[in-house]
Amino acid sequence: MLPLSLLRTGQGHQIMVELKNGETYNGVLVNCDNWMNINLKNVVRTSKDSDKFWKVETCYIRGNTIKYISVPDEIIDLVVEEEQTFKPYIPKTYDNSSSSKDSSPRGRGRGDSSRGRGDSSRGRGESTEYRGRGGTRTRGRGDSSRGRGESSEYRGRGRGRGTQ
Amino acid sequence: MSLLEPYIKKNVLVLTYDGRNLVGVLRGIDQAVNIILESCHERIYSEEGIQKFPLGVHIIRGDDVAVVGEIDKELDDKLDLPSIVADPLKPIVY
Amino acid sequence: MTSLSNKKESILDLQKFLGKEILVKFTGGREVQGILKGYDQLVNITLDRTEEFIRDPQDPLTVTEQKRYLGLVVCRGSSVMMVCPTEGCQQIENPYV
Repeated sequence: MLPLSLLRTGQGHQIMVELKNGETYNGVLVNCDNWMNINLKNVVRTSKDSDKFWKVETCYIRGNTIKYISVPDEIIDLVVEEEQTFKPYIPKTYDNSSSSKDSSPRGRGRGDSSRGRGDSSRGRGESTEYRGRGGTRTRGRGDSSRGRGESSEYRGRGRGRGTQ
Repeated sequence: MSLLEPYIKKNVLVLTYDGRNLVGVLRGIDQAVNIILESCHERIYSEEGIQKFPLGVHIIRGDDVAVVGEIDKELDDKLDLPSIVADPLKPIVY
Repeated sequence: MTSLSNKKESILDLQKFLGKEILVKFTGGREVQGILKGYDQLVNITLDRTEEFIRDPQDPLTVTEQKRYLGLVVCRGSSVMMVCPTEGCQQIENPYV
């Protein structure tokens, strides 16, 4: 059982919070979040030495200053009911007995055609005819024109942008 | 998930940074080592022996937890607490 | 339940305290009271006509009645420990006895 779920279930109930500085806050839990920050109402605040008491209508307490929270015993039974509705997580196993058609994991852009990279040689220059130079269609880098472009006419870009 | 998983549903003793000794059933944990103790009581050490202070259900914030130890309930029940005299633990100070 | 709906919103709705006097406690023990002028999601707070409560020199965690006037103040959200409106706040006798 996660402590934060127990806390969330305690919303609407009277709880007692002790902070790291020793003060205690007794009040109804209005709201809480994932950082254990809480909103209380109708609170009785007791000083560290238990000599001063305040009545506070509403207050917000930062989670990282809490030392501990005391909740009523009934709350734990309420949480147990909630948790039974969760389905346990079973990771998928890739083997022949699985019902899916292709057993191999697809992965991200693997597939058949290079989806991520682009079919027609966008990045690196896979086409054999149009190499990287500066001819008609410059796609990829190719062999000759490396970075800077060696042909005099079609200079420098050479990255495969295409001077067309 | 966590090294504390084998301790769940067992009787444990939790030592907190302020030097408190809390004994109870470990019901829940999370990655931040926040702890849920059920039927927990605090053991206060003093010259008069150990005093038990019942607390109910407690959520202890992880950054206050120093030690979590599993207790053998049978052995623990055999202890005569009022006769054990020891100095209380001091709080951890940076 | 409601805290899971909008992850970006803080559960502290400072909108309703705007213009009102609030008490802010900081990590380290400082306590400050002032009129809420502005805030943001990280709970950084601007207070006007702020007064700081002076702490007991022997025990830096308890606060005395003395105050010192600070004026317009920006409080850093990371060290804000507790926020409450002063109008709902009053000192009382031991209610547990």
